[in-house]
Amino acid sequence: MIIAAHAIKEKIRRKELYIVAMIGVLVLILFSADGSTISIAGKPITDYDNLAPIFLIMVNAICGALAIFLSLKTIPNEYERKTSHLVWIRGISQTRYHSELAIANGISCMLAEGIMFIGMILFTLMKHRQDQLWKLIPAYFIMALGIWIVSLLTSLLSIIFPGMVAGLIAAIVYLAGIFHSVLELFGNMVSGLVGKLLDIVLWIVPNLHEIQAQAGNIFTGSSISIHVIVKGLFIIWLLGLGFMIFKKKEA
Amino acid sequence: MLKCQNLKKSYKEKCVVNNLCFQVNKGEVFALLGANGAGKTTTIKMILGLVKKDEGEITLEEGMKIGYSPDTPFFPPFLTGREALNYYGKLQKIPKKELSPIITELLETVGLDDDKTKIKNYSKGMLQRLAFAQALLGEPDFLILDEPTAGLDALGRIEMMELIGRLKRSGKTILLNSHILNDIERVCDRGIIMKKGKTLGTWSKEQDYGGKSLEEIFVELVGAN
Repeated sequence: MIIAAHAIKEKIRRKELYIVAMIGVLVLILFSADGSTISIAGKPITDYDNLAPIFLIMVNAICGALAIFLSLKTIPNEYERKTSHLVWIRGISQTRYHSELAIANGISCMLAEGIMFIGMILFTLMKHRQDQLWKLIPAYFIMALGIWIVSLLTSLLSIIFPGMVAGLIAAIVYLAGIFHSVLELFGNMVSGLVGKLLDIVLWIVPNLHEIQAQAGNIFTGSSISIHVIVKGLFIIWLLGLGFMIFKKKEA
Repeated sequence: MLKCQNLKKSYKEKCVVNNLCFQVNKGEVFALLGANGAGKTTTIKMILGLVKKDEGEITLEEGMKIGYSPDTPFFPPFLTGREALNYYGKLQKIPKKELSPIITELLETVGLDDDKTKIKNYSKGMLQRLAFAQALLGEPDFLILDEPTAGLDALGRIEMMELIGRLKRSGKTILLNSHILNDIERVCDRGIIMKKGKTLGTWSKEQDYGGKSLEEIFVELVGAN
């Protein structure tokens, strides 16, 4: 994991990770400030157990976007500045090279998620619910599944497509992933070609909302679906296989 | 040590290397000469496997270790020279215990201070030296140097050429590419003159050209074609 460790070190030292994550924390703090309220159907939600899952939705949304941002340029940058030359000539296979860089992206995104969770910790402390702090740990790891999916997908796309195209596809998949349930609802309402197309899209796009909802279930006391977790891990494994299939023609 | 036969490479419709043939013998310093766009770097990349050749054959001596110094070296700016060499040394699986003294020696060889200076504060010349040191990791038998004197001032160039000369005397085989003909004449044994991917002629230190310098031969050949 020499390449991965090196790439993580570079991301940490370049500070982009902190800056973007801190913006996310600020957004969370603003929402959790005493003066601000969150309402659903005009009814203000004030209790911690209901607010926490909503906050997780926000953390998930910010972290997903962050995952695209942090993962999009890592591999192309290596080729642009030709550091890839010095790696290729040392007999490092493309599969190992790209996989390690993708792992570095995933870990960096988890670090960013960790910084975002500081906002969650502050929010929990502000609501005097110290007893709920432990729940943040499993929630963190469950949500990390979705973040890894977005990060790995973006890394893989960055090998195949130019930056803009890769970023655009990743963003579309990510948005479709977090609005999976809404699209499913819409899919039930439409028929014909559009309905069929939507079915295909929903079959391909990972249900990121479903994964994030499991993290929310920890706070609401609902049961966690192991099936969803295993499905998430399976998607990560599938994306990992992609690094063995898709390769660069030239360094 | 290295034999290239009928090498061809095109990008879309543009042929950048066309039917190139040359051989580098053990212990010699061989030069690829030519103006910008002659196909020198593409040839080097094909030898290193960084670019796929369209046609031809590249034969390298079996088990030979290759070191490569790129024309525009990039190293993470937040690292020190030692840290950068440490990274590439680890990639080469040089044992941890051996790596530190090797790096000390290499930094000394290329004339870089082993201090806390970050690469972001390096001059272009210092970057070239670091690229050179990186190429020497793992004691390669064959060194491929792409424009090793690019960006160096006069003194830096002299020092770099002296270093290449020292490596030659230590038995290393070197393939280098440059458009600075004075440098080539100083350290190289043989070479080919290229234009638009083709070989225009060959040059050898041993051969008598009736008092003509390499520069004159180069101008004659390139100018006539």
